[in-house]
Amino acid sequence: MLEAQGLSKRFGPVLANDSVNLFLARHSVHAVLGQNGAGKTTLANMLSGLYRPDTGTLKLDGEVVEFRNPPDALARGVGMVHQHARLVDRLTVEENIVLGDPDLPYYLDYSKIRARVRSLMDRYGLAVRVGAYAGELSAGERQRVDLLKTLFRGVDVLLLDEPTAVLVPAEVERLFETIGSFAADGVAVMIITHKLREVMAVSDTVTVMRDGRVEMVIPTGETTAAALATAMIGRPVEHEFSRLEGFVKVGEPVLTARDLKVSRTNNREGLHGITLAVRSGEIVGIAGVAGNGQELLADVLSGLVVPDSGSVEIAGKDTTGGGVRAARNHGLGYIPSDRLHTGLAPDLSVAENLMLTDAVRGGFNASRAQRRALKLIEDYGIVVAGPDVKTGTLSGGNLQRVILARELSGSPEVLVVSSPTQGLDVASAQFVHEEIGRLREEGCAIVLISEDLDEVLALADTVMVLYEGTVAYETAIGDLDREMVGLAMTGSGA
Amino acid sequence: MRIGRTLRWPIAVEPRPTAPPWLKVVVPLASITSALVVVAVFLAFRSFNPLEVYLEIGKTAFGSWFGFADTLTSATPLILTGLAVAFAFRVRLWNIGAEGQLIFGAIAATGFGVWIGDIMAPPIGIPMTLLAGMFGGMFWIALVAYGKAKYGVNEILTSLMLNFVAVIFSYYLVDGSTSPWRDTTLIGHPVGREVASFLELPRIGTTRLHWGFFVAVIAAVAVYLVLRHTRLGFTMRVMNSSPKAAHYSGVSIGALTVRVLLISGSLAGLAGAIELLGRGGRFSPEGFAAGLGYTGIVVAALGRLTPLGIVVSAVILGAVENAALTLQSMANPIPISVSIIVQGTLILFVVGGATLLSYRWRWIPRRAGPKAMPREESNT
Repeated sequence: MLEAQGLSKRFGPVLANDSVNLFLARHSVHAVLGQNGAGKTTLANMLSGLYRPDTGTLKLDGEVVEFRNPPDALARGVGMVHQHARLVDRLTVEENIVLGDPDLPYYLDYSKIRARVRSLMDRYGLAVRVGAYAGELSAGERQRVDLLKTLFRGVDVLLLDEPTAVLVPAEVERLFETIGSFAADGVAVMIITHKLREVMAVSDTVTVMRDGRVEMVIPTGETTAAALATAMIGRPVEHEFSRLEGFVKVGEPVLTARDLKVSRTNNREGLHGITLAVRSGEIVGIAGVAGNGQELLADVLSGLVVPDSGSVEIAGKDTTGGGVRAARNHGLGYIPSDRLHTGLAPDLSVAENLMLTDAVRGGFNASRAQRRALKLIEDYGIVVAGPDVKTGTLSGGNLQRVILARELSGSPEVLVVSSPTQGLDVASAQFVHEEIGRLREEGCAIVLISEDLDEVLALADTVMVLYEGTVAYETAIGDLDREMVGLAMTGSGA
Repeated sequence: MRIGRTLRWPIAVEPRPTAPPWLKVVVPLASITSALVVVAVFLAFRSFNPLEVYLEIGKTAFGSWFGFADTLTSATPLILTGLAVAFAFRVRLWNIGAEGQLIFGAIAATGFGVWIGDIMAPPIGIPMTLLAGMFGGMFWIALVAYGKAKYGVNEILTSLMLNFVAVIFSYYLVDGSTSPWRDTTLIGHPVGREVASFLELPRIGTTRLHWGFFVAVIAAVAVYLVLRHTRLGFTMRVMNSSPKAAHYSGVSIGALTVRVLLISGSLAGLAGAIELLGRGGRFSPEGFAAGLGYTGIVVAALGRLTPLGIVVSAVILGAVENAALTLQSMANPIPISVSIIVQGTLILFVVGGATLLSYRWRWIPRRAGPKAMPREESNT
């Protein structure tokens, strides 16, 4: 169906794809597996016309093709569905579905469009609320609308970029059934993922990528999860992260939050009575599917958002209404999940960002900042030409190191960390975990928020699961019941 | 096997973080030259000799010591209003109200100069009167700042509309009432009251250039220092780069907005006080501001928001405006609106040129396209 031969793409010094060959067949689901930065998305972007390969050819049904842009690819039957559905919030589901269709008649017969949307929905089990505005939909629904949008145009090749990242487990199951029915209809499906379980569950063939190259191509039935993991990582691993060891003395509560309430808005879940206490030397891990109030909780604890009611105490001092300054003055460090725009000012230099939170509250001293920056760059292994480089040009791992260097070098008493390893390669993630562990040994009280359940389970002493802005499950790590966690995350816990 | 590139355009345009230093000099010069060429075409259409016109402009604005002094005198308020606009824009706030703040600066300076300033010795009286002008400008932008910080009211609209209120209020003070701002000793067309003459800014030699020019240059240096070397400037850079990062690091965005706008307003107010004390010490509403506040927006854009750039662009625009007056009174008069055309064209080219600076243009030699390639590999 769609065949790629020797595709290469270079971004500056990085060879993102190195002579990649890929064959997508009709009636088949092809999984592309790899770590972050293995080149999976670059490959998909070249297949869908978003990027032009530096070298190599694409063949569609044996004929050499060249896609000018994604609409061009879509017109020839190659459609891509992105991780985050790209919909217009102020348009309805069906308006979003027909948006961009060049064959759209001048007069829009909505009843006809809706009928066609419904027939596609029924055929593939893609339930969405026809007539609702895209802005009202959940992440899962938005993705289904994006799928319908692609199907509406009629595709022979469907590329899915990490489609399960935003879904709850039950939705993942449904998506896999849908993918199965696409394949049954003769579509060539490609699914990008870094989750082994998904590869085993849904694919017929699997391509493993590492460092921009194809490491392995094999029918899924003829391999094992362990073999795929080895190919993906390059060396056998038992767990993604090793549990932090070391004698840690847990002390008194340093961070206390009582009955936090924030009303929910259209864009985000609220908090509906959250109480937590974090003791020094303890890591409280907050798990949950994205969008259940985790980010908001982090913002409230660190003073960015003032709660409607309830209180936050840091080291015995009430910081509830005092904003970020009060929280920071009493020893808070905060590593937000949005690194480039919240945690850092992208247009400023690395040195300036390393003193960002100090300089804003007092003490602006350029030469001292320069000296400190040189030391922190060294200590935290930030790969950068010098302290004056513009921060926005750094890679994800280095951005995170800049934030870590700034937030941890002040020896905070309380640390709130949100998705600390999202998008990082294994070595960077390991570094981040070691730093968090080191801080815990120093007696810092840590709140770790992550969508990656394994990360929470690997690091936390106490695990809390948030669901729709409430604590659905809370336990010490020793008494943890994995099944209960799964149920609590999907809202079916006790 | 490797297969040739298939780009349709032989030129690649890529963003780049920093331009080489020589380009930063060459591009603005090329932009100004291009602007002059375009205006030349326009002049030629109206059957003027462009070279002659440019020569005349150059001679008027820079040719003699007196002409040059006049140019700098015209540039003085433009430096300050340009700084006012640019300072606010450093945190993406649009102060379109420099005109109104300038008028209120003049009103406040007149008020202070008439009642309190005349009992002081000039070394204290002049700075105090200028300070009064700055407070006048601050007062007039305070409402804009409050609305923006507290309720998020669009500062473009409020600052712009308050210009008209300021103009009309100034007419009320002098023409429409017997307020203390009106000189009631004179009969005839109403004029404003004059501040004590020893409060007027000393002039340089026999020219019209006064010390206000140096005050404006000092203000530009001060703005540079604030932006580059103070906590406020640092906070502004964080805010400009990412408001979220500013909030995250503990900046009160409302308080910062108020501070920046008050400083911006005070610069425009200073322009008003300097115009008052530098040009006769008498505030009369007719043509007092005459678009100095609006031209400040042009100056700020042309100066790329940097203090040095603003001084340079204010001098250029001051020269053009001065020369335009002369051109109009030539044997073959050129309409005064030519200065507006020059302004507009300069902006287009200079701002456009600066945008090009952040991209690299690379010529890519065309190679064989896919159609020319052998097809022996199509074995699927």
